[in-house]
Amino acid sequence: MELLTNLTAGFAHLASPEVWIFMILGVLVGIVFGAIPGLTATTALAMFTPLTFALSKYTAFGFLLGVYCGGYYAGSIPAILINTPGAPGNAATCVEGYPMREKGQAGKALSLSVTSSMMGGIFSALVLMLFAPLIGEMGYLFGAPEYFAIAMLGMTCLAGVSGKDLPKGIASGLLGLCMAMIGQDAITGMTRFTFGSVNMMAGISLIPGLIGLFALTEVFAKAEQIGKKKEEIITDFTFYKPRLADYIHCKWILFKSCLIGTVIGAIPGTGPTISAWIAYNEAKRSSKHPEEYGHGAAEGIIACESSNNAVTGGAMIPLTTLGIPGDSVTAILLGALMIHGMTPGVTFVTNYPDMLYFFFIVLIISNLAMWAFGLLGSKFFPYILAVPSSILFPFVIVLCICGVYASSANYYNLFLIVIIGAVGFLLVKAGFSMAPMVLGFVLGSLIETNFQRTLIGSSMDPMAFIESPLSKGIWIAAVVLTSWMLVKNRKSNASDAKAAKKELKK
Amino acid sequence: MKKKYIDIISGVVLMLFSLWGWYETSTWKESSAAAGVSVKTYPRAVFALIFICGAIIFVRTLIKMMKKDEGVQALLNKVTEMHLVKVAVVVALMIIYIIALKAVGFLLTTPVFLFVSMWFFGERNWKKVAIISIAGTLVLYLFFVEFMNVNF
Repeated sequence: MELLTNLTAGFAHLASPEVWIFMILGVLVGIVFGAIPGLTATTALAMFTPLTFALSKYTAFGFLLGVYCGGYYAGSIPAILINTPGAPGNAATCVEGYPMREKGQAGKALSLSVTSSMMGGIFSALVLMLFAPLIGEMGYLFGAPEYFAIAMLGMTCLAGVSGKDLPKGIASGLLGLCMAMIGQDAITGMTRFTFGSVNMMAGISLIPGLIGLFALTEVFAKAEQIGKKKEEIITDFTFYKPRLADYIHCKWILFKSCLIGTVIGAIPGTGPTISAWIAYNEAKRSSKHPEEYGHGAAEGIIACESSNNAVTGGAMIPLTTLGIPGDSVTAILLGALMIHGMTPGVTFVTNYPDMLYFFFIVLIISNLAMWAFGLLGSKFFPYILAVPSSILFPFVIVLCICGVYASSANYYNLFLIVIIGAVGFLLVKAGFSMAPMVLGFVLGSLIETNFQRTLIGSSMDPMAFIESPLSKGIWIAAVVLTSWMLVKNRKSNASDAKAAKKELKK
Repeated sequence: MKKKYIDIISGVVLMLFSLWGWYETSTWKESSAAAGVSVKTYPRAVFALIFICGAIIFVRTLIKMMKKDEGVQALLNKVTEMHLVKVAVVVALMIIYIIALKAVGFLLTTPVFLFVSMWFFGERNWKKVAIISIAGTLVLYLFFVEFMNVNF
């Protein structure tokens, strides 16, 4: 009954057309910012939060949550079209999205991406509505050992994204951990691998790292092809109508991915990057056709994107129930709540029940608006591929440089992306995959900080890593997943070797 | 370059890199803030694992090279083409662009960079290249400089 009363109160705030206009505007702004490499939902929210001062709190949060949803989804557009994730959370989408676009199925990939994003977003909003206080308390259970365990669970994805050559995949992941090590040690503040440079003391930020590893590596690969052969632009301008069959076919993968996104989102300090990789790995592990992964598997896109957007609702849980922002985006939303005179925390649910339910409703409507715009866009976005690469790639370079500079206002980061891109290109030529490196890079600081915190907190007792039942459970899941992936990898390699032999005999 | 040589070089480079990393950690001074945990523990664990991976790649390739299996030899002799000069030119162009961006500003350097790089990437219609470079720069300028207040 209370739920219905609050829900009605939440709906009542939607009576103003101003709320609707700003909510839809927010989704559009989020899509534009998310689709530009280097600019993220965080950038958009940081830019536009001060502009919402003049608006009523309902209009303001309609707009901000619209930006939030649109921004999380839109990073998949450049990930699919130009192999450049718009935001770190969309990095996993590159693995399947870009090969799918290369197969001439850009429209389908974009359609799958926006539909699964919408499903993930709505799923998490419903979970938020029904279980917010319950899941919110889960945040209390997470200490350093549990965070370390969950980051290691994320690293188990290495086995899944390493491709055929596991030692190279693991080495690539470890090189990513090295990238994350550069700069100050989180516990002692000691500087490492900075070569005396003041700029390097802050380490490598996520945006320059990802743009270097994905976008510039691709640009350099294209530069290598100059004059070699006439370019074949495979474009798919046909609108791919969302089909229920695509999602029914992998309903369990979709459900698990949404659940992973919501739960991971509810854990402060994790976010969409880790959830997308875990969902991808789980989808690959449980798939009936794991051999299709890495070559444009639709299931892979569905898993990554549904999980990525399921984080939006999940991350609102600790924000509203405990007053803990899960990541930089929710930190800005926390500031916005305070600016509009609300105190997030344990009393939020009782003090502002109408606002909490207003959030659920806005998240659901924003996701639907995002779906409509995304589907409409999926008809037009692939036209970008009709632009010859001789024109497209110089613009990609300038866009990357502008995006990185806009995110940090530092020329050092611009040189850094060139170096990272060049090293990444050489590694790709040597048969190393970029996906494990990104995984290591993104999870590196989480792993190192919680590794050290656990040891400090337990007076150097290594058993502290598996002391609590929760961390035990996560470790068991990590070991089971890795073993499963290794066995599958071995089988797949054996069948490949047999096929190569047969071909040679022919 | 043949795959076997790439793998051998990769293995050796990884081992050398990890040895350098290990040596670098030995130059660090221990901090009392670490409360018992050495700041070297985690990085050394990572470098040790990189060394192991490098060694596996190196030894595995050597063992495969000694095998007489035709399938294995065919895989090892697979050639990966490398045209590093073209990549080096793009890298150089980008570095010059970044330096010029800092010195001269966005509006003057971007159309020049776009023009030169489009030409290098193979677009030979200079009128088209010139128009796209200028128009593209203006759009980017409006978005980043005017709308987002990014000061290059």
